[in-house]
Amino acid sequence: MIRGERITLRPLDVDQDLERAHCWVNDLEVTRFLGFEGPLTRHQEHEILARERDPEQDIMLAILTEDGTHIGNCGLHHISRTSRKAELGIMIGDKRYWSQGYGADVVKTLCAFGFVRMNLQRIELGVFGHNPRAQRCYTKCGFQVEGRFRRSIYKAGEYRDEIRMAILREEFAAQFPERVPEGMSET
Amino acid sequence: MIRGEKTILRPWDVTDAERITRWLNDDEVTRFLPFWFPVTPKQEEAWIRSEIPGETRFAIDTLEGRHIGHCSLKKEPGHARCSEVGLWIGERECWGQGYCTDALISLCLFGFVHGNLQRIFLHVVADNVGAVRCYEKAGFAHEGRLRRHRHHQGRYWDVLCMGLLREEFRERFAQRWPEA
Repeated sequence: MIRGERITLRPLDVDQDLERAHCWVNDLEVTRFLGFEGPLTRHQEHEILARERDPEQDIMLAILTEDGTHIGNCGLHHISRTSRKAELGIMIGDKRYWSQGYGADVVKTLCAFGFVRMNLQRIELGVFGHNPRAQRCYTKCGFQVEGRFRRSIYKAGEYRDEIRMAILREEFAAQFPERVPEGMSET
Repeated sequence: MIRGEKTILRPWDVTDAERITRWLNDDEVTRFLPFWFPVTPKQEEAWIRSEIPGETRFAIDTLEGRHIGHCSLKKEPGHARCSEVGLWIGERECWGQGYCTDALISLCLFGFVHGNLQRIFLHVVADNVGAVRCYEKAGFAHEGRLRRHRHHQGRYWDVLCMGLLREEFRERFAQRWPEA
């Protein structure tokens, strides 16, 4: 278990999690902000969740609230051990939990896991131009905008920009000292 | 089953999976161990069922039958009759009571007497002073220091190499060596 302030992250369990996750990835209000093209069959979603992952390369975790409710999934992907970086992904699939600060806790918890446990030095992500709420969340978590891929994806009736954001190890440690152990190496 | 003075080593059973999952998801327990990612009972069940050539694993029980930890011997490639120790006590309240030393002596006895090893070695994070003391008590000699060999919790840690030879062990624990 990986503990945040309010949320807990645990490994996915396909038997427990498939039904919920399958609903989320076929909910257009959820997927309009995600980078894949749905819909996904139950079988396809099963394949995604059941895939054996090497946590050195790809991490997928379930997001649980204080009372253990599974509200979404998140992860670190395209992990490079040489460049010591990863791509952060997060989906709060249960819309009832949007705009309550869970996302920011998840992002900070994943960043702490990446920098402290996995010794990463950079975490990056992409967010669509039509998702200002997520952009605010990432900014609050210390991510900086590094670029804008114009008309990068067709989503919800229009071409949308993808904004690239990233945070470096020392930036995270400086902004959230309570999330890193004392004596963590700077670089 | 290998009975020591405080512990019994026995084979793992799938019913141990829940307990091992709890231990390996405890940051205090994994503080000096190379585990960094949460595990599920299913994965641990699969681990218990799996077999790695050259590796012998035991669950550590107290004499009263309480399961408290894990130990293993893993054969080095080649013909040196040499194996590496893995050992940890998952039940925190059982730390510092000599279970580790006792289990290690039983494990070495198994390796030398039944496995015909001539050398047993291990790696330990230098700051894990409790474990280092335990290994010294079992007769392990300091053989080297691997500088910044391990990463854990945001920083690098030195690792000590320790080793024990067959005749050293036999002399030290003569009373436990089988009679001729």
